[in-house]
Amino acid sequence: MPVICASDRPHLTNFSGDQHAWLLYLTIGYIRKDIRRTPEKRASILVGLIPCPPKGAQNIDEAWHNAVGSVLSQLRHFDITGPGLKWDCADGFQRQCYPLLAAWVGDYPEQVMVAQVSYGSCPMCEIPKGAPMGHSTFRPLDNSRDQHIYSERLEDNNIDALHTLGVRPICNQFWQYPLCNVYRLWQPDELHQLLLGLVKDLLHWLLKYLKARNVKDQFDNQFTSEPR
Amino acid sequence: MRKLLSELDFGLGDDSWIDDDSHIFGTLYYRDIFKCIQFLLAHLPFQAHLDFEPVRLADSEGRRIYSEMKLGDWWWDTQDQLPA
Repeated sequence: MPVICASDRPHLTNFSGDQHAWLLYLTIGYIRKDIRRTPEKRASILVGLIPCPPKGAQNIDEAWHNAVGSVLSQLRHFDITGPGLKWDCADGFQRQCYPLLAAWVGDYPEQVMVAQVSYGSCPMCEIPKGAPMGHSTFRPLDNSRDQHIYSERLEDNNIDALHTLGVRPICNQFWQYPLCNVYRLWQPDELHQLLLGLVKDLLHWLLKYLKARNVKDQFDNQFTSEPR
Repeated sequence: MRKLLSELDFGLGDDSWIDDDSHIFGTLYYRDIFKCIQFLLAHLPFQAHLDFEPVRLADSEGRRIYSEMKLGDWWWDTQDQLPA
């Protein structure tokens, strides 16, 4: 049974005074997406209010992971070799259920938080920070295949080796969820990845190219004279 | 905070919230996620909108369609790794 989590850091969830909370929602993949994505249908349940750190606090990521770990501990410790759980379904049948974390809905900063990759790195592939764009294929990150490698490097304190993968040197709780590859939980984030990531980079590249050929003014003139 | 939580609530009851003071930046409020899942599973208004099995669908030219969770590979791959 696919379980989907969604999180967002607080921007306006300012309840009273200085109380902030990070929201954690949960829904299940059995529900069709047109229902799931309609807030009025209430297919997502608020399952956690995670306390926010005060300004300048240390170990924010670790505290967040601990809190989310407490909320989701039943998922993390679920025994997939056992008989599963017999749960009633809306159609009147009982089913053997194996709840598994299948997806995480969140923007790029949330993905970085969950996956604990370096900010600016890819949350899916082994790409060192600052690698040139358009580079050939990279190997996907996969904790179900490589968790022992990550852990070994952590134990050896081989931080550089982790950094070349884009992984932060932290023991990530999400490595331990059954049948879950934390680096494959994502959906594209239009704002951070497409607009701020790809489009911005392409624009920079285009500007540089035009300037190098001394045709920027000509381009500007032609562009502004285009009818809108 | 408790009062706010009960106003946000729909059907699980405001006593479904557990508070945990062991976190360094304040109280963590959370719900039993398995109870939440059971609630969603048995929620009658969703009855006609539930899919319990993975499916492979293709268009008339034989291209796979991936428009719902049940149409993806994840579900098939994962199903294979669970006891039958």
